[in-house]
Amino acid sequence: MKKNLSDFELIQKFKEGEQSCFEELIRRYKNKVYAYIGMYIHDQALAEDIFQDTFLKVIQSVKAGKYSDDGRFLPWVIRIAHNLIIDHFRRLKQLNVVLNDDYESDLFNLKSLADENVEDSMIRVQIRKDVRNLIGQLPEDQREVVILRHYTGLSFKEIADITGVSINTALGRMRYALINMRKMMQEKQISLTFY
Amino acid sequence: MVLPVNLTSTQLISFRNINTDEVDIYDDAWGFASEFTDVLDFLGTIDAEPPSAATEKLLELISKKL
Repeated sequence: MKKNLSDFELIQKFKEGEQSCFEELIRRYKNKVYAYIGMYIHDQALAEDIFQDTFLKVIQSVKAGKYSDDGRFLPWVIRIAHNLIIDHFRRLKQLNVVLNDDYESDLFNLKSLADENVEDSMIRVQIRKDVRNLIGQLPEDQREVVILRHYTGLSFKEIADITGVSINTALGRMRYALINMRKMMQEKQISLTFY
Repeated sequence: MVLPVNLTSTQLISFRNINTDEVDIYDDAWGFASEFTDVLDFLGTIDAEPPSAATEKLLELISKKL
């Protein structure tokens, strides 16, 4: 029943006291929000913390009347997640912490790994590492567009709004990103058939 | 015999009948999906789902907060 309601209707009902309506919003967007966070934060425990903080902050803001609906709930949530990620990196910088990516635990789909044999699991972990490395090597402005478009499913209009550029610039960045990634895949001889 | 045009020609559909709900027209116009299938397929090999424990913990936190 709640599945048929729009984001706006769910938020309205949540404001009126129906907690389950917010749970539906979480169910609707949890994967996209988590994917976005996971592309920047490689430590699983930390990514989970930011994931939870994001939705708690969303609730706080909705309750405080800071959300004005214009049909853009997900971009708004992504912006909150983005700010929390920035806060995290700012804190690290203040503490002079050096990041070591070897330490990262695998963030994506650990559940599915449990059903696979060791060899398949290793291949999957390697693919994820390759994908993340590929995206990580892009210039920041291109990386952001790829993550927002591919992993959170935002439209180019929404991406343009979030990143503060024109739609054409966002499209151009996406195109350059895809060209660059193809080049890197060829250089590193990565292809899906390899796996 | 000459048939009326509307019986012999391709039926036109109106703009309203084109379903663009799940389509980003800009993406479509720039043809990313067709030109970069290999790269997009590779990006699609990972799909992130938060561990169920993380979602459950979040719902628990929300219940406490409200």
